[in-house]
Amino acid sequence: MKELFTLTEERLLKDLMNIMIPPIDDLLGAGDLGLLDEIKDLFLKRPHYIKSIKKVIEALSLHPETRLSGGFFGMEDEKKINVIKEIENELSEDFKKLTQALFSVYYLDERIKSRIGWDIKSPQPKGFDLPPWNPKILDNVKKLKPFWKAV
Amino acid sequence: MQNQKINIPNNNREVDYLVIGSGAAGSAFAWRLSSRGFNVTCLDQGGFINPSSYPTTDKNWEVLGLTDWNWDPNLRNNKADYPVNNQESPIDPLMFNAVGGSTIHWTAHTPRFHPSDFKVKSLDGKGDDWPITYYDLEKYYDLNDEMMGCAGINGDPANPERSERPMPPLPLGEDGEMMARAFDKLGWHWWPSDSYVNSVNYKGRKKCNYCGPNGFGCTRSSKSSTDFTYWPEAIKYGAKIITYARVKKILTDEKRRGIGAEYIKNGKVHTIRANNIIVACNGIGTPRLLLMSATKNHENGLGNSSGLVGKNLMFHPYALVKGYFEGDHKFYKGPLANILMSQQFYETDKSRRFIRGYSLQMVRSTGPISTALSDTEWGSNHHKMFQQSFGKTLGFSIIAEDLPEEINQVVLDEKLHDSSNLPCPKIIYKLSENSEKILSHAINTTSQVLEAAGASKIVNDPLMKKAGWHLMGTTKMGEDPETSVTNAWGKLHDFENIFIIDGSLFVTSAAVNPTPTIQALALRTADYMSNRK
Repeated sequence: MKELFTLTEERLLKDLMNIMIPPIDDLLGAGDLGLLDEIKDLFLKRPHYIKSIKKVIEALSLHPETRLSGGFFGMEDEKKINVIKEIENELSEDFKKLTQALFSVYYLDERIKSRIGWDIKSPQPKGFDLPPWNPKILDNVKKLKPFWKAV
Repeated sequence: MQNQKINIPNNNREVDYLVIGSGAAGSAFAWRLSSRGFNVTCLDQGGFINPSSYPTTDKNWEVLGLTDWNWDPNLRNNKADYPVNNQESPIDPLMFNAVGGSTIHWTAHTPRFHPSDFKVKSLDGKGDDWPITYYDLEKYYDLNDEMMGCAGINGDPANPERSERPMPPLPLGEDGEMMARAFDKLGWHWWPSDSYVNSVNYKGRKKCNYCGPNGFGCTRSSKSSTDFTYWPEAIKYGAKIITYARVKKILTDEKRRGIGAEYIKNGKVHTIRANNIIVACNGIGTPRLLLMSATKNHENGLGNSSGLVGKNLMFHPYALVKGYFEGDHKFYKGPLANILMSQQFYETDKSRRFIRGYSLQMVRSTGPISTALSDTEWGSNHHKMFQQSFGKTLGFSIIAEDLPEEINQVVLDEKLHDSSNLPCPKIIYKLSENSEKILSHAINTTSQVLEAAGASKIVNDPLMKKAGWHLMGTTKMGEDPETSVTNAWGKLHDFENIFIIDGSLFVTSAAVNPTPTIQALALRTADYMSNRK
């Protein structure tokens, strides 16, 4: 099967992912957490996501600042961020899809779920408990006089 | 354009009542008439959905909500969906195409219209009056609450007295009670939401276990959707549904009668004959079908002698105001939006410089992916922003009354076609000055509520784009054929036996979720039709 991304594209994407979601506590940035494979798995059947990600990668690679610096990796972080922001502005829908893909795989990762205290696999079948209906809560609002307009 | 002489093959079915669309309205209508012994057949472009396939049991449920189960048909792109050109609208229309229609993905928040909603022209000088009153619909609201299963409680000072709901209200939760106390502090109205969500076991369906995102379908059938409320009953009485059948056009004769429909199933065109044709395809699908069914005698579409088919499109413009609360909260526990509603600013108050008003509907936090996407930015602040928002936000969606304007409309797109090569609808919509004023006022008052509740930061989205849940007004009812498309029973003025029963009929939009009103209208029309015989 043909790889979704070339090695160069993967390298740039990992770098981008690290900038978008940087390290926290003892966790590496999103690019170094091995989440690229998760993106490929999750969005393989949704080619418009992959297409958008590729468009963003291409735009980052071809940006004049990137070319002047001899490639995305050669740039200082501040410059990288400026270029990314510019591409985000120009390709907003594609960048949105990239962000959706990245945030999705990041917050589906067990290491991240553990860090944020989200111990739920899925909302069902367990659901949540709520305290029972408390009729006393209506005591104040019941004192309002009816104010709907009769016609 | 269809030919006037239509040869109906001998092997075609013949039905008394052909219902097009199996959602909120079509299902209620089919149940009512089939329960009285009438022959009813329904065509739907989608199929039955197995509740176990809903996303909420899947670990990727939030990703599925962004993709395969997105509320927006343009993003979901299911086999049963048709694209909608929304380039000329600040609000994207949302809908679901399957047996049960958009009740599959609604949150089942089910308030009623107010009596004043039917008399906007008389009271406020804008829009129009409905040809019916709240009291014409009241017994059908009650019947529908019984069939769908309404949880709620009587005594609401913002609404007329009414019959008991079949179920007690859903619990408010600690967060709901906190917000209720904030309203109390301001001396403002609030009331537990009316919801078609089971607070107790009801009619063989389990009580809700408060998982949260019931807008992605309810795997335990605690949230009502018509595929397991009305339809099983209707089918028991003999109603039939033909699934994955996309209607191409309504067929008419040379007089003023509909005689059937052409539909596409498995790539082939079929014809079905009917004595009565009932259209229930929603505020976009219904005008689309009428426009697609143009004939030599009805060049501008069926029922369009007034020129109003597709016009007066109303959404409810929504804004969102969200408060951030410090502390270790888990505000994602509980139904996303079936909590409480305020109608403090519902009726017209001329000192506010706009007419009509709005409702506030409390909403909870969401899961981590949705939180990251809505509350954070990428980059060095990402983790801090996530930490401040995950499980710690509560807010209100503001439902503004939208007034009818002919410039807001559904037309057929000349270029965009669906998978059956049928023309797609194009939406042309502009937010009115009145709506802008309503939303601006509401953002201010809602911020006061959140402040009173103790929010440390308050943000807002002044006009939600992905919020076109309510599609109304595009074949308005009325007494005068020159200023309306149907009569007070939903019958097209131009035809003797073609009826509309969905939100397209709405003359004005009110400032509440429309589904109970849509279903009450459908039940009322069903009674009218069954009593004529």
